[in-house]
Amino acid sequence: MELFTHGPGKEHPDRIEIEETALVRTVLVEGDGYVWLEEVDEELDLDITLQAAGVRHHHHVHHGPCHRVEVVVRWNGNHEHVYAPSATIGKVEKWAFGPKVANFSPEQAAKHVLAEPGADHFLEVGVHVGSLVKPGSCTVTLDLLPRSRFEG
Amino acid sequence: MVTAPDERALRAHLRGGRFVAGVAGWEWQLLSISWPFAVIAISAAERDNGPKEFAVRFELTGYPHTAPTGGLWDVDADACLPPDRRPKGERVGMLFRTDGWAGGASAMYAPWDRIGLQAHPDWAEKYPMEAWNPTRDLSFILSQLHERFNADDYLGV
Repeated sequence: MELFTHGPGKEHPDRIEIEETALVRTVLVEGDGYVWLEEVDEELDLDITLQAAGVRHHHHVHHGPCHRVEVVVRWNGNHEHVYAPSATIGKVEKWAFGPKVANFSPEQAAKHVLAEPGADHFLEVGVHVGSLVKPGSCTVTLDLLPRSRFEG
Repeated sequence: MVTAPDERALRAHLRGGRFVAGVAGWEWQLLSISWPFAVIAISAAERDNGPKEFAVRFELTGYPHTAPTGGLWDVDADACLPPDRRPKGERVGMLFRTDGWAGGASAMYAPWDRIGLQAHPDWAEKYPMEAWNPTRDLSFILSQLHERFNADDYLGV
């Protein structure tokens, strides 16, 4: 089967071909500690097969050293929330755009987006928060910004 | 026959995780490549009067060092999509303008589009988060389009 693997230091996934009978720990990259299915809070047992763990063709899995990632969203102050590393930016947006942070209407939400400070691009909804951690850290800081309106 | 560097670069990106994950997630699909053109269909949110996807024909000479340019495409007619079938909505309507701008029907009013950049030389500096640069790949544009075709402000056609 083909899987999409996400890990620290790279926003977009790699493709791997792997047997469903391979152990979950086969997905680990040297130095990594844990493996998750996308958007699932609990890590997978490393010593069972991918099939037994419920991993299927074209699933997205995350490998990385952090057990949890603290996400800090900067919008009229700092707002913190803890996620599994395989949580997506889409999930963070739901919280950040919701009543506990920005409290946007649907129209306002469509016009806003998250980005890493100083980045040259906005974050896509499918990026895993664990992909954004830097070596030695399990905290990610994001800015809540308005999307551009192209004029000229 | 030797494949030119720009076509080799595109084909490599189309084999990469980002593009293939988008295909697997039903976000987009490659319809055809006839170099320097590639036609890609991008899925759209369900609206009473809207299609399930829009096709965009990209011109990719010099990719990725030169920004792509592209416009909405009628695959059956092999021509630009007529105005009455183009997407409506605050952001997507401006992206695919029909009011006679320099890019016409074959380019996007956006800083990731070659014609958009040529018509607005200040856009690369003014909109660095969306402007094309050689580190981007075509999936960068596809994700921008998919987001707009699936946002709450997309109204169908």
